[in-house]
Amino acid sequence: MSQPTFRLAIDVGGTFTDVVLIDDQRGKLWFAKVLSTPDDPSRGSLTGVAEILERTDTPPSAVRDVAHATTVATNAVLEGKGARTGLIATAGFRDVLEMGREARYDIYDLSIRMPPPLAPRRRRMEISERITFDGDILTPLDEAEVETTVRRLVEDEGIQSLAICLLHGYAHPDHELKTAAIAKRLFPNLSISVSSEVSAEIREYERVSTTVVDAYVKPLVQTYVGRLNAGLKALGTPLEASMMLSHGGIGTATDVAENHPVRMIESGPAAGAIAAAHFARRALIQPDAIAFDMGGTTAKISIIRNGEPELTHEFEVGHVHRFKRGSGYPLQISAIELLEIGAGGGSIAYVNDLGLLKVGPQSAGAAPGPVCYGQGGEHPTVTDADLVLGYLDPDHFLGGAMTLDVAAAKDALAKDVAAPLSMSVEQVAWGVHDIVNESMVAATRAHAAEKGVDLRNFAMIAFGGAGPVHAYALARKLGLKRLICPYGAGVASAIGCLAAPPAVDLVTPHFAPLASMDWTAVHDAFSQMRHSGAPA
Amino acid sequence: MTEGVSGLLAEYGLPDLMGFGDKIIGLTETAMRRAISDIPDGVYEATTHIDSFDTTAPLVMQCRIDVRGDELSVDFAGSSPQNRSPLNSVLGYTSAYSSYALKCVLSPDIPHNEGAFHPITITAPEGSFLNPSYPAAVEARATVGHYCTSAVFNALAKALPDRTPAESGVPLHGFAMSGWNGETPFSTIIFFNGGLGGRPSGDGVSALSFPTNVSNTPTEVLERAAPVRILDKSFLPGSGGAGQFRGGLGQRVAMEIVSDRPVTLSVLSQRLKHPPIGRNGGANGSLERILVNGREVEGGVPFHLTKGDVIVLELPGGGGFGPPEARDKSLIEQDHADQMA
Repeated sequence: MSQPTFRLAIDVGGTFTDVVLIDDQRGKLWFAKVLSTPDDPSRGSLTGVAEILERTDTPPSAVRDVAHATTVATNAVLEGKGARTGLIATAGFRDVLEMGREARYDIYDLSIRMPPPLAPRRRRMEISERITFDGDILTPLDEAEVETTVRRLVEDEGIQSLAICLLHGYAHPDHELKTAAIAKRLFPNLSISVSSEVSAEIREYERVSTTVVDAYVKPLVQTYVGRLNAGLKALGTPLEASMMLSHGGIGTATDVAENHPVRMIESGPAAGAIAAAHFARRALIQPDAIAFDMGGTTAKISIIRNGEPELTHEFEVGHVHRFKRGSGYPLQISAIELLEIGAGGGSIAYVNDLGLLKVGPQSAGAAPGPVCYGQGGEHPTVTDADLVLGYLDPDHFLGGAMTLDVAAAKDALAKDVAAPLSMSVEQVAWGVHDIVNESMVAATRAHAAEKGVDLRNFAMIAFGGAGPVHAYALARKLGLKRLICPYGAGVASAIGCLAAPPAVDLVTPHFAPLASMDWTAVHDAFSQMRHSGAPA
Repeated sequence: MTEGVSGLLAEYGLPDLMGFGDKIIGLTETAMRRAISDIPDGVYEATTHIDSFDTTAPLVMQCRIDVRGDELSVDFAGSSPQNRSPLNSVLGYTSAYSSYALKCVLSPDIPHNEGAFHPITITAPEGSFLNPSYPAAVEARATVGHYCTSAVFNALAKALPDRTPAESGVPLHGFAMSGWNGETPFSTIIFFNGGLGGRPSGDGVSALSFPTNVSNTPTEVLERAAPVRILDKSFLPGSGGAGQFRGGLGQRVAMEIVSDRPVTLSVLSQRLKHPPIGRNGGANGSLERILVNGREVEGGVPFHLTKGDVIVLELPGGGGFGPPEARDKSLIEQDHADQMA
């Protein structure tokens, strides 16, 4: 039999699971879209894989790679459905997780809420140990105390997953590792996340937050990856799945699930940006582009320079207020920098207290959806305005799978917006379309200015359900000269999985004033990391 | 193609942005006037006390809010005269923190600009510690300013009892430290926050910066930068005033000096005598305590600390909101399980 030349990619989203099959030898690409199965996301994935293999008559043995992106970890946090998680902290520091940085993300909101700690106070316990920042052991670990503490957490509090984060553990992990070993010995099946392994970076709040999110999602991710791999094996594909990470690289799914599931938290959106970067490299002589992904609830913008998306090392998940920075759990991970704006096809138009027309960030989402879907939506959305303006064909939506109700869209715009403003339906429809575009443009300009990027010679790559509809207006307002709506714009994240390189993130702390830095030591540390990160 | 502001002006055929600016300011003013109109007309007064340094008598903030139609005035007549300590606040600072309190309760969602100030006047008699005459020491103006927010809340609560939160564990506290870190001189300040007052919408948040917005310094960063060791940084159980919605907890910080040479440390103590008050039947928050090597002290003068000395700061929790009897049973159980009460 000849060498297998097929590759598969799966993108598990909230509503749909997209599957893409590519034959690298012949350069052929096939898509499948199946409904996601939130109770067990691996079921939807495997259904999609089986469907596309059968449809294309591809033997499972001809597949040499299955890459995939999933919202399993993010959804666990957003929906509060992660594991019952406990924390072991240094004496005097169990409240760091809940105290955070003591700052407010909104200075006028007297009803401000902070994200609830994923390990509540009763499941945060302290052990007497202390290592100084320069590695002196002030208080040795009391192994008997560790045993008692772990037993209390598991037997009295019923935790399923344990986070261990001790002060200065980023540089001196001995006590953390010993604590983990004791916990493992007592309870071999307990899921354990250790701060120095998840995120070896200074700043105890951000590190404990990262470690606790890791612990919180780990059992779920492991179950999911286990089922997916078992299913793939049963189908007859010879390989284990690989996983898209937040920074746009690919890792082995079992390795990610075992060691740092927190790094896949932004898996899906990262895959979209990677697809856009891939298209930019293929389509442009100078691959500088804005990746513009507009869906039902949000638009996501990322800047691609020289064929690579920008990375950030500050990330948040589980926002109390979706678009307010500081209202979520901070994560010390590297992630593709995505600007998220509360502007999507489902964003609702309304007249605010000042008598001004506003759009979003409230969204009708997929259910009930825009009024024109006829599924119970009552308030006019961006999609309704797009339909009234003629950007959408009422008789040929979703490839003809759905018809749209123009009259209902007009009625909703008339009632909620046109009447209070004493304007015509067409005028307010244009207003809604223009305002949502302007808010995306303003955010993009500000983001570009912060990054010091002159966008005028950039191209725009548009994807996502509503992306191509709004891309022309956006490109025009931004003064861009090239707009690319790629083939497979609806399954861009899955395509991105196929374009992503294998990658691993390593961190080594090294502290010195810049003026007296030992650059040889820095260079040696870097070489060592480079060596340990290279494929065996 | 013209760009930026000129492009915008050309697109809409505008000569400049003045009319646009007037419109934005006008919309905010209209919204603020409407919010003031929702307050019943009348005069609402409250007295708020601040610990002073140089006498045994507290500084008094006498706040009088007069609401007439869509206009509102805040006057601090009857407040203490200016004093020789740095606990004085210039009028601009007094006004800023007072109008901030009004903005938070009356129109938090409206874009903030000059329009919000048009229907509001804020006055304090010249020569009072809220509007001192030259020369006056004003280094601790932040402490005074933070209390202005409390003073306005305490008066406004008489008009809007169901919309005004209990007092928070203000003011912001800091350790200002200097000395030698080995052979290197150091000087740094680190900040700590008390608990937010109980609110009509729920419990106060524990250890949250208000009315200013100043973050803490990570212990791991601090210990690398200064010859100190943080031994404890925890919520202070029971410090939040009881209530239907209890006050957020204050915090306990214990810090040890590890330098071979002395460290000079200043901390402005407050709340040693006057706790954050509760609202609508809610209990007061806790008092502050400062201890050096286990002995309670006041923080008016700098401390000279040497190796092994331990300073403890216990910051107050916020006041409670509403009667404790009305507290939801599940919240009581949760506090019990989390050892917060």
